[in-house]
Amino acid sequence: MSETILALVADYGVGIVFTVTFLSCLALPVPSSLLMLASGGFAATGDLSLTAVFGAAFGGAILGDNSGYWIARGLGDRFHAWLDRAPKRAALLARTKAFMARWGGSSVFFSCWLVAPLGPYVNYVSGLSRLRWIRFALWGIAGEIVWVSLYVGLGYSFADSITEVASVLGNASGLICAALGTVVLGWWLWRLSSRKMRETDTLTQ
Amino acid sequence: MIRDRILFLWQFHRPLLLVFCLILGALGFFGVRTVSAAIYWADPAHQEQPLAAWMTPRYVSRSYQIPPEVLEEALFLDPDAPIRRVSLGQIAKENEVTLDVLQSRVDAAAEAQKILRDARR
Repeated sequence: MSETILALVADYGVGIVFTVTFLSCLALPVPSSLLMLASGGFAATGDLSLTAVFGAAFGGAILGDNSGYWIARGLGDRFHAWLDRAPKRAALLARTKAFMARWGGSSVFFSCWLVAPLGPYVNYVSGLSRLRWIRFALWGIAGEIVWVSLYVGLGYSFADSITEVASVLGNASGLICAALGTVVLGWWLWRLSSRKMRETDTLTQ
Repeated sequence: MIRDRILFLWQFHRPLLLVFCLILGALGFFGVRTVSAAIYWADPAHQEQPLAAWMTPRYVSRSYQIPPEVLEEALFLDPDAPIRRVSLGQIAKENEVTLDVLQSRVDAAAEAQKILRDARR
């Protein structure tokens, strides 16, 4: 599918870039990173204008992020009775809200580019936990500037070797996400077992 | 003791521990793939990009270091019209040829170009 979408950019231009980045921010499985690299490459060869590529990718990403946020926020408001009914769900939501109140800004910022595969879900969680919209939007804009500049810039600079850059970056992005997952979940498991260790210690004393 | 911790987690938080193992596996998988991709592409022999359906004539011209006017003929483009943005897939479809045919035509053009360059030296 990647090849087909890239060919669409060659045939139809930046409108495709806008659409794909928009859809990728809603967690649809479209190859947005590869597409931005290739569009950067097309900008370097003169097939597309660099400003237009940047604008389309950035516009699509921002619109996609905010759509995700408002969809989740709308759904959250609509089903809040259902969410609050079960104590377990309510507790999870309360914990998420507390986490987002503290770490919401950096979560949104880094999930836009450093751990981009998680981006769409952070948008949904932000909306669901009612993170203040202006905070969400501003951190999102900052993050997307980095994301778009990074990929379009790399595509522009390494226009001759898009395939290579894409394969290294794709794997590196998976590596960073897995590393983050290992640290977060590892820390959580460590804490869970520490509590247990303390309990056994007090019991044996 | 780390063993006690793992035993405890296995007993009371099994799904979570399994997810952790899965992520650990993913970490290894992507680690190996990142390193091997970096090593593979660092080798100059692997840096030649074969033609792909998404590339444009200008892109091929840059990638193969062939002037656009030489490439136009290889890609069945009108030499008098300004070079346009179109995918190789589209060119192949319009001219009812496969991408392999385009590849051999471009390779021939690149070869001819190289001979020409060497002769000028």
